[in-house]
Amino acid sequence: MATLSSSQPVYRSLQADPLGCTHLLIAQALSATDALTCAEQMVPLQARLSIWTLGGIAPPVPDVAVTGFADAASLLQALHGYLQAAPMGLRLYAIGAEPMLCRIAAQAAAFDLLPPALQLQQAGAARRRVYGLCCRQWTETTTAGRVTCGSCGSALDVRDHFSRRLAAYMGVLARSAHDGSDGRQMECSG
Amino acid sequence: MSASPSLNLHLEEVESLSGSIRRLRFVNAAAALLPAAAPGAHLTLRLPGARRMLQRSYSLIGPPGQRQWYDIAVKNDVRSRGGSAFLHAARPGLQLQASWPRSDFAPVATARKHLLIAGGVGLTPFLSYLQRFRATGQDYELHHCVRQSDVAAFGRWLDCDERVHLHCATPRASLELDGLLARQPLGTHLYVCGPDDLMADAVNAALGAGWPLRSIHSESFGAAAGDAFTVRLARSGEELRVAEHQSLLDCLEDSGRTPSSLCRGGVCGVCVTEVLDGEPEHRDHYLSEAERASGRRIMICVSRARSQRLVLDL
Repeated sequence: MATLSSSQPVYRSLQADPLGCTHLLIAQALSATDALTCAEQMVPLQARLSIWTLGGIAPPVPDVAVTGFADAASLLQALHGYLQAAPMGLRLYAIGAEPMLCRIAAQAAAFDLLPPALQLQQAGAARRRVYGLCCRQWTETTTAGRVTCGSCGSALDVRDHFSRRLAAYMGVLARSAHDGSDGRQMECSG
Repeated sequence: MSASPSLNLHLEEVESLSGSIRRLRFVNAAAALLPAAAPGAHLTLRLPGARRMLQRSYSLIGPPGQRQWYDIAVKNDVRSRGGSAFLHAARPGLQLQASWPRSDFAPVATARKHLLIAGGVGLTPFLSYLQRFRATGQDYELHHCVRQSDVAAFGRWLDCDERVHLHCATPRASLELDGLLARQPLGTHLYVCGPDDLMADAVNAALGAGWPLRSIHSESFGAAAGDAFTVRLARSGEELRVAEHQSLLDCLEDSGRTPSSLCRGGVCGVCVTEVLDGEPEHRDHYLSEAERASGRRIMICVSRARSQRLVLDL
């Protein structure tokens, strides 16, 4: 990210935290190279590590069981149940595209699981999750700047402000070249 | 002391809670409402001592936010450095000066559960917590290590609550800290207040169970005892002897100095002082790990010296 505001999530290369007692790694759509690099970092946690994947290559950590999920919704549902039963010594690591990381971070925050007990690393193609104030729906985008709302088709300007609660960047109706109004006050067009 | 405004208090009522613990109720001497206090807040009283005015901090034990009166509970410590002995002799009608209440030990609003561990009169900051938790329906669990003779003292706050667990055995065999800390659900925050050994054991058990530091909170008042040592004040060249049951801050105040201080519990950071030589024994909750490791700064209200002599930039 070119600019960072304090609201934005912090990404860094995952590093095994030996102070934790239970460790969960969630990997989304990893390339073989990313999977290998990730596995090298997680090897020291072997006996106390679980790995969940959503597509891509699973990090090949020896003797660690891998649970695969077919879609994001089922993974997030399972994560909610896991966090409800998890002890205080949990360390959660997530690697993948930003929209998925945002949703994992939001769920973790609801359980007061915050950095450094939560580590996030971006991997794969750059994607961003945007919350459109036009119709209050989420849109995923691969582009920077102006995007089109996936629900109502409005043009949205993506602000740097990140909402941890909504797990998304704010998308406001693009300022019209004709009326000069503030997009946040415009009515939904769809 | 500090730049915080002061209050003139009137001792309205005294009640014996046990053979060694009494409750004191103060009202505003100006017959006005008092400043509201957060859960876990404390009051620093200015008390007349043998050689100087003493400053002693006591947790407020009344319902958080109410402004009619302040209640504190004080144990008559046989090793009293003057504060508890004075308050155990005090009678209604006494006028005292105090700081505004200050809270450096408030419960964390985002916690999903609060785990409270108290030793003896270290229970007092949690009495206001409990009233807040019960009013708001927050999840909590309290473990109180207490002498059998003092069990009844806090009965009105603790009775008929299945989330309160008393541990009266000595040593505290019934409180198995490792297991307790290991089974706490995600989102729990630990708060511990009491004797140094209990605080150290609880914090170490939490760290051993993988708790993040941000979820561990502790408060210690007046527990600055340890081996005696010498402090040299570099600017004047004077040397003072810090006795076993005397804090560094008390020693400096006894010598007529007025170093900046506020919470007197190793929390607020106001009394931080530069160390020029010697090895500090850090007991505060303010300095970072890097600052502790450097040994160049010390919180004089609670910390002591590992070396025989400490040279301070005073």
